[in-house]
Amino acid sequence: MNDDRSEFQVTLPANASVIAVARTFAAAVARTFACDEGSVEDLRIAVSEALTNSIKAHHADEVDAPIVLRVSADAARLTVEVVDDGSGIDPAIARSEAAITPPAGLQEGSLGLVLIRSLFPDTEISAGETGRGTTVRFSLSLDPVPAAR
Amino acid sequence: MASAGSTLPRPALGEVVSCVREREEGVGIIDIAVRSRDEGDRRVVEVEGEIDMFSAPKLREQLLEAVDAARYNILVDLRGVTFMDSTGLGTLVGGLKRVKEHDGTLGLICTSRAVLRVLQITGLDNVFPIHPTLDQALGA
Repeated sequence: MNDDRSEFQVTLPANASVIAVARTFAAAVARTFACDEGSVEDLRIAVSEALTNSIKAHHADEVDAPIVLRVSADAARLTVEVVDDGSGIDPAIARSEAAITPPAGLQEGSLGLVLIRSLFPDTEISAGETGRGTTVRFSLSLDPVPAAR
Repeated sequence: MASAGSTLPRPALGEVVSCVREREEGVGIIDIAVRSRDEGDRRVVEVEGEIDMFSAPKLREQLLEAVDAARYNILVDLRGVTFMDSTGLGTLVGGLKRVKEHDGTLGLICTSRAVLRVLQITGLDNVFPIHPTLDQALGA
C-alpha cells in the first residue's frame, strides 16, 4: 500500500465572493492528479454547493470564523473536505438520501445537498467534534498513473 | 501582558489574516454579464459567465425587472454560461414562479454540457422548456 499522501488546504472568509476561488482551487488540484474534465466539472459543482451551504450557515449564526477547504490525494482517491463552524446541519437532512423525484428542484432549500449527493454518492456529512460546525466530505477515484515511479 | 523583545504587532492567536479582500460590486472575482432586450413579445435575458451565490443576484435583478415591466414571457439565454450551481437554479425557479403568476413563460436557451447536467440531475429539465438556439426558442 502506497501511503504517499498530498494535502492542499485553503482558509476562506465566509463570503460569497470566494466561492469561485474555492472551486478554481479544487479544480486545479484535481487536474494536477490527472482527473478527467468530467470529474473536474462535478467537483466544481460540489465544492460550490458545499461552500454555499457553509457560508449561509456562518451568516445565519453570525459566525466570524473562516471556512476550510481541504483537497487531499493518495494513489487511489482524491478527497475534498469543506469544514465550517456554523451551528450544524439538521441530522435528518444530513442522513437523507438523494431521492430526486422531479420537480424536486422546486424545493430550493435542499437542492445543494441533492446535487452533491447525486454527483458523489459516497458524500459524508458529519458534525464537528464540539457540537458546532459541519464537515462535508466526498471523494472520487483516481486512475492509476502509468510509470509514476 | 506585553511580550518582551518584540516590537512588531502580531495577530492575536486565532485571528484571521485574510488575503481575500471584499471587492466592489460589479468587479468581483467572477465575471458575469447579464443583458436584457426585447424580441417581439419576449424578453431575452442573456447571461455570460459563472452563476453562483455571488453572481446570481445580477440575474435575479434582471428577471425582476422584466416582471416589473410586465414582460412575462422570458427567455434566459445561458449559452455563454460556463458554470451554474443550485443558487443559479433557484434564481431561475424564482423567476418562473413570478411569471407564472401572470400566466407567463420562462424558457432557457442552453447548449453547455455543464449547465444541462445540473438541470437534468435536479429534474428541472422537465420544468423549463430548453432550446438549443434563439431562433428555435422564439419559434416555440
